[in-house]
Amino acid sequence: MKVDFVRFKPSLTYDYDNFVVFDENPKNGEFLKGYVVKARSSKELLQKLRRAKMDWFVGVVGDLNVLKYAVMRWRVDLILDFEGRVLDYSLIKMAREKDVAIEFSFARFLRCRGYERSKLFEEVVETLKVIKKFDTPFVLTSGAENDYELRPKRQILEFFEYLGADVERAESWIERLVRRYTDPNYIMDGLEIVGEDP
Amino acid sequence: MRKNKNVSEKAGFFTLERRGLQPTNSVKGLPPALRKKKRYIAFEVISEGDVDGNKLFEAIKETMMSLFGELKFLGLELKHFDGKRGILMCYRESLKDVKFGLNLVDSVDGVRIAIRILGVSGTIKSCVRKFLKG
Repeated sequence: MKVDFVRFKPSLTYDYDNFVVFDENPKNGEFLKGYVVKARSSKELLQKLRRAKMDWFVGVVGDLNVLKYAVMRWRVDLILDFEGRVLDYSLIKMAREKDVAIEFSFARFLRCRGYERSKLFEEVVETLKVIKKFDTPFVLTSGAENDYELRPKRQILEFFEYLGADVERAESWIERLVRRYTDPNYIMDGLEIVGEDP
Repeated sequence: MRKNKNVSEKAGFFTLERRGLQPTNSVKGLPPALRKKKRYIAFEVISEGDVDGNKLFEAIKETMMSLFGELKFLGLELKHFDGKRGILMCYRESLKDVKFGLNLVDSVDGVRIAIRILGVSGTIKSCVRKFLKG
């Protein structure tokens, strides 16, 4: 299943089956709904998490302390990729234990140049190595805010594969995450409803 | 001496313009085993307005230079561009690098663009047949 996580309602669909549109106020529409929780403290995070409906993907944006708190909440699905995100070793390890995915977005690379982009490359390569060590859930997305930042799935995967990401693993994590919300027969990994009781 | 084949005549529908050709500085007259192996990337440009082929190639070269520097020569040549779709040549060894870099080309002369890679082939003729027909 080819799904992308974006920050706007796309008009180009390329080869994607669906999109998860992340917004602070998700609206009804043809795409899956993603809820962005931007918090500056754990208290604000909790308040905003209470608003989350059951069919919303929940992504968190905040500083390192907020992210560490967010990872411990069952309602949080993933840590979104944003400008100035800081991830540390212990956070990545906790994300594995609490089954929270970490997003890597392609669009961040388009928004910077030169030395900043070089630093971003280094940060992503190092983070991917730690993620591989713990087998932490992670997803590779475009993170697009407009049609010009959107790319076909294959290009995104090849881009991150060049930086050392295990793309097959990433695809399995994103499929698992999406199935949780879209497949009515899915209960958990290895457990699903296959038919009715005769 | 090998004649330049006019692919457009055989393809019929597709006009091949020899725009953006850069004469290479490699050794002439090499036997086939020593010649650089090339790959042709078919791509499509999604843009707000019209994009000029020469300016597009300048933007691609600039991005590749900033990513890989002067030391890495990728063998880039824009073989064809009709304003929307085109063919970019590169060396086989640098194919992954070029595909990586093409993702990061996001504007040409102030016009926002996105490059979508349609496919890769070993010859221009098969590239046209597989990815640019229709």
